[in-house]
Amino acid sequence: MKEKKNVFKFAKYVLIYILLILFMMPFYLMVINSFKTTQQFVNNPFSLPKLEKVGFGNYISAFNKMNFLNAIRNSTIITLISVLLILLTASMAAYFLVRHKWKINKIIFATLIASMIVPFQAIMIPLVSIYGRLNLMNSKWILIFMYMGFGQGFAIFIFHGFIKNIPLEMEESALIDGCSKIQSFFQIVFPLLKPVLVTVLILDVLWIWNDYLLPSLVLLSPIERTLPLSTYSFFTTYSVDYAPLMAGIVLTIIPVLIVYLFSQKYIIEGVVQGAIK
Amino acid sequence: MNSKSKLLNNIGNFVIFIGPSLIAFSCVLLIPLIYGVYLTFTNYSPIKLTYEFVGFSNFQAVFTDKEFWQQFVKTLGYVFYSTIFCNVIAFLLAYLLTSNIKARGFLRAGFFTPNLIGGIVLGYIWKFIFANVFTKVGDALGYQPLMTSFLTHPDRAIIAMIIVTVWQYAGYLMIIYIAGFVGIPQEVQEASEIDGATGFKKLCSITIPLMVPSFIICFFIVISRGFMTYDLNLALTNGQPYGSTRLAAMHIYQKAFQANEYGIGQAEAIIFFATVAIVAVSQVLLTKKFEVEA
Amino acid sequence: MKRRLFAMFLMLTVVTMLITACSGTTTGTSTSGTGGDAVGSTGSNTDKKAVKITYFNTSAEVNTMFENMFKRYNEIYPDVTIELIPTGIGEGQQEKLQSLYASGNAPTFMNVDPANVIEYEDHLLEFTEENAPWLSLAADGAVDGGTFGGKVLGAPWSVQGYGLLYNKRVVNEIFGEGNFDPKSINTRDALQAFLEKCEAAGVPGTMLHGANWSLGGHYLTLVYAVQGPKTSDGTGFIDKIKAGTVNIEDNPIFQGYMDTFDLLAKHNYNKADPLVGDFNKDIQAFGEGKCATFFMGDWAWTTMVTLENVDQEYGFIPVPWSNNPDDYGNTEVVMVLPKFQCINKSQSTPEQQQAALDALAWMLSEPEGQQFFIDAGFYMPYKNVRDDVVYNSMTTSISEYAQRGKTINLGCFSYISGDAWTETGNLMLKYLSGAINRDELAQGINNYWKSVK
Repeated sequence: MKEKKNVFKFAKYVLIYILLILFMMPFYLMVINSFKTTQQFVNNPFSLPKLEKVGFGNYISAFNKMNFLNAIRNSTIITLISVLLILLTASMAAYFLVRHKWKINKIIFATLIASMIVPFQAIMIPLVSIYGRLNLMNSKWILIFMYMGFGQGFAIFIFHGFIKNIPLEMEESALIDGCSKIQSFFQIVFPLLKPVLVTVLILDVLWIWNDYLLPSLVLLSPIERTLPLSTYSFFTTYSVDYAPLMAGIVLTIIPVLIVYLFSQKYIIEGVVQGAIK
Repeated sequence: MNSKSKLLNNIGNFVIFIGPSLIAFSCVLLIPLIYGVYLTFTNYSPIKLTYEFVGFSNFQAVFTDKEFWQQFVKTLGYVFYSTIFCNVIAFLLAYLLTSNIKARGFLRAGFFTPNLIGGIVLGYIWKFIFANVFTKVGDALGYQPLMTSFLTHPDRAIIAMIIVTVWQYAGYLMIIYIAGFVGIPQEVQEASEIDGATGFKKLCSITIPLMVPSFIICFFIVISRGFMTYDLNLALTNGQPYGSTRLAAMHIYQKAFQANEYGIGQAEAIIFFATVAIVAVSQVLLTKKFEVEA
Repeated sequence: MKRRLFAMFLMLTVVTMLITACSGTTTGTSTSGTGGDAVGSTGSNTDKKAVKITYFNTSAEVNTMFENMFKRYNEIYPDVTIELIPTGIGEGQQEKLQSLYASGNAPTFMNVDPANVIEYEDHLLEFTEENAPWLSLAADGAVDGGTFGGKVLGAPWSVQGYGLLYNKRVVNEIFGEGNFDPKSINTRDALQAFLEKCEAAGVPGTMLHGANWSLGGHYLTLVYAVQGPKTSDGTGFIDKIKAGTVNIEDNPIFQGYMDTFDLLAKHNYNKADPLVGDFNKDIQAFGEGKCATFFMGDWAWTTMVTLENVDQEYGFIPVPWSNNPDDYGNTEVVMVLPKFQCINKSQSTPEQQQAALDALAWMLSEPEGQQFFIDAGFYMPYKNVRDDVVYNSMTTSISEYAQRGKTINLGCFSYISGDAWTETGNLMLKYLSGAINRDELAQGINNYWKSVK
């Protein structure tokens, strides 16, 4: 009996690690090839880099070409503020939609869900022509406002499902004690949403951090460029200069990777909290 | 409280709770969309200096665009398979990674890495892998089907897109499933174990029903993102071989911007959106009936 | 408790206000609006008003060249700032340009395909003798490619050529040093003999790049261009197909080029998997001598020059379509002006237009401006370009053909716009991979042109 369990366990580990290798393979390729030249990459993508030859050359040239410090400053401001705004407004909105089953709320909810499927192309030109005419382009604040709007559908959708799982009794006792709706929300419901908040935070950070099309339409001057926009110089009309691009992408990813690794901890804490509750 | 102040209170709460969301959402999505719909009834193009009302002629032209409908069907198939495989793998991963396993944090981070890379770059890397890595493996093993690139045959190119989509989203969905697993109240789990439910049975009667919100979300994500796939399409296949993998969104982009038929492209986008919206919204509303409130 | 509520509310209001208030107040932004303002960004003198203009570039491989050029220009003329709007991935260029126009931020001047010049003609400033006297320095015929409806809307700046590139070292090894004369390839039979000799020596004779722009934009256009030496011969032929009065399969030039295409496909280095279309890979293989020839143009040099351990000497041979050496096209290679500079008039102020004109004058006709292009390897069609430049072997080969008067006029290329390359190119790819036969290819091409307005 114990043997069977051990075999199972072993098989589980093997499966996981095989899958892991498959999943991380492209990422691994990207990192080792960021230390080679494009020519070496094309010849043999799996070969280990000869550090003396190229070394950090790609990284240095990527850093300079991308105007890295400026770009990362822009990306950070835009991503951070947009995500915080989305989390705040969407969680409140989702809460309201769950707790008040009014007709208008149902309509709003259905519209929000439907909005997630709007192909960006359908609103791209109308969007830029409206905001262009109002002279509201080329500003990171407008971009943040746009992300706040675009992020509502998905965030509300996720929060909605999880708020439904929170027992009504917990809030009712608070309301009887004289709390207003807002207090009840921030003191009881909000803390319980931690795992979901972190989840949406990560997903939205990734989306906004890596987004290319919307910033390229709204941010026009070089000084406003975000990180993805700054990698343009590695793409040419017919081909891609892979090696420095890889270096540029690795540089772009590192901040987000750090955010993810940190927030991992909070998801685990959420597990512990849930157990105590 | 009398009903008048209750109403005021409700309106006040409405404004505070949903106000900012609705404002941002309307200004950025709703209004441009309505304007976009209006434009499909004109012969507007970003290049022309003036435009006039043309009624339904753009929509009529859509119905004669054979390729649009062909690609629509292809997109349906792509979305269907991607959704199934993606969710199965993601669920499996989440299940494995919430059980007692060493290095859980490391593993979760590892499976999530595909998501750190944006759509375009991802596509280029995978394009390279299909054209060069797979073929080298095929040559080494002498396995004929692998010796030519997946991307040069129409059927296999779609399979390549499905593979990359599954790879890209499995880690993403895994996080949501993990949050779902974690959200199952401990008491419920313990209670079921006391009653004698183990392993598979527990999975079916307790875990899965309480995970329905996660399923709804994850299915919806893959379906909606799948229909809108453009970045990946562009970078991985660019519609090749010879335009056969030009999925719906890419077809619309090309119609609007490259064939300079902005009105027709816009009309196709509206029709496409309406169809997909009906499909996806019904999926959500239907499956929401399975939701259980704790 | 009440304080907390109030604090939250305050924060929300403040944030919302911040967002709306901070919008549209960034400095030095768009140049939109008719009769708008000239925004200053560098320390302005009191007498001359500072101007900022924007430049949209579709030649993505030389974004850096333009950046450096504009930086230098700003050093010489501190009150003019030129901001480059680079584009990256090829497909996104049309969208970007259209969205710039839609939002009222059209670039002041731009470097685009001639097809775009036609598309945007209502928005473009006409170059006249008064405002652009330096255009008279352009080589004969160079300005024609940018002239539409009798108006010069695009200024030329580079000349490129394409045909069958051959690797001199490889060919010398096969034929013996000094034995190969490119002029000997003047009929399809001669080409066939050449290719077969390469195969016999164990080297694939040629390579086709499996991309729709190469086969549809470049190869197929030969069929239209060779109809006659005048641009109107090519465009007239296309018009007849559009009208349905002519079917392309009835045209002997089409059949001839397709026979040659079959021949090339037979000796294609990429034969095993012809549609891969990886530019880096193909250039590298060609540079390493893995095949004798490559259907490509001299822009390949800009990629070749970045590689190590590749051959440096190349030349061009024609792509013959018949067995009569006197037929137009059998002894010529293509010379084309692929891009033009044009200035926007619909969304810019007169000051901005003048600044753009001055900038172009400097870039295209002043030695210092021209030097940037020359350093990047471009061949400029202007009579005052310094004559001591050593161009790369590919470009030198093209100019040798030009000096002998042996070039194919690809003027009709300017009129092939929209998705013609993509669609007809896709048909060529299908034909190359064997998915359709020649009749179906011809039908597809006929149908495409008939569906275009």
